[in-house]
Amino acid sequence: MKTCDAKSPESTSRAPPFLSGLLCLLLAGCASHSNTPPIPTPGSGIVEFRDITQQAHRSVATMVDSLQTVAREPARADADFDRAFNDLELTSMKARSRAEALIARGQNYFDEWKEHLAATNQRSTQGDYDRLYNHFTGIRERAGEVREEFRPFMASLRQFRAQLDQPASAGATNRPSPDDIDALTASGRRVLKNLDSLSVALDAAEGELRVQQALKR
Amino acid sequence: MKGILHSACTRSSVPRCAWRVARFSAVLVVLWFVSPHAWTQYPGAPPPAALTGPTLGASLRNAATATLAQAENVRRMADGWGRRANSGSYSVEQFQHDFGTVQFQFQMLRDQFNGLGTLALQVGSPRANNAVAELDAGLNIIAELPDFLADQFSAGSLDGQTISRTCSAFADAMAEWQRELKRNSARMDFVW
Repeated sequence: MKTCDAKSPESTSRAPPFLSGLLCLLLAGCASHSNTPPIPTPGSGIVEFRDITQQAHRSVATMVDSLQTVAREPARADADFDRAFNDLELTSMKARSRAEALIARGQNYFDEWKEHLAATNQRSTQGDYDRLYNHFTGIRERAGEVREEFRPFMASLRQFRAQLDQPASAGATNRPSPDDIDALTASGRRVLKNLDSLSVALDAAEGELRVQQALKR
Repeated sequence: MKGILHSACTRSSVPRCAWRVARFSAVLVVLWFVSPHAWTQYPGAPPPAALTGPTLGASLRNAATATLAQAENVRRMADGWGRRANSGSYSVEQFQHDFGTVQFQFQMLRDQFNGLGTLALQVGSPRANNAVAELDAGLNIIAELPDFLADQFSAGSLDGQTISRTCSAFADAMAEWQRELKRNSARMDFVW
């Protein structure tokens, strides 16, 4: 009769693989799925905002060009116009939501950018902070200008597009006039100018951050 | 396509139509006042107990999953609404029903998102707070689309093509917002 103490050669030879298998499972459990999210790269917020601003700039520029096409042939909006309009709805949402959050949170929004300074090994000086904060203040002002122009432009554009669908029998008052197209084009150009200024300000902030990081390496 | 309000309002039924528009506008005003605005610094309502997990990260993941599911629900509804509006027989009653349903679902999305935002504030990092503020601003901007339809309806110049096109933009914007929510998970300190 076998007792518990009596270990067969089979059981002793199986133990190491079993234990190592168990260990592997435990270690795999530790390493496979971390609950710690990756930390975004320093400066990624500024770069992302600049990319979004540039996308929005391209979309508005395409829209303004399409408005000229409609001005030449005011009877209808073609597929290119609708594609440009739909694309603008999406890119403007991203650019405007960044601008809105930056304006609404103000100094608190800057705290995320401040983390970029702390991401390097060496301590940041008060001068580094001040320079980045000055860039932030400029960006905030320009984001405010973008907000002021972008929202009414989008509202007028939606209205304009709806008017293009009105039947000719609806009368001249419901159809967009050449003056309406000119006003909308001018509004679009103001948005473009403000997006340009914002993009330049974001470029400068990113450049500043890059210089500071290079100096500390 | 004819304006849906125009097609329903004949000269004899103008008072009835005016009453209908006034009633619909009153509903819009009520919906506007119950909607939360400017999610920037202060906490909103606490998240539902069903969303809370063993850790803050797990709770955030649960709340984000629920928010994402609701956003997908709104996107599908907007898509279906746009397709229905394309049919020639689309009526004022159908518009009012679709509008009310989508507004209700959008409000539910805001409530879900407020729960997520409250949890994200507990992370206590500027990144998380900024991500919440950006996503909230995105919802406010998307809400301009149904607001535009309501304005067109009240002005009596709404037509099926405008509804269809606006709903398509609404659905695309919701899809984009979902992508933004997923992309912002690291900033809000959780992994999917």
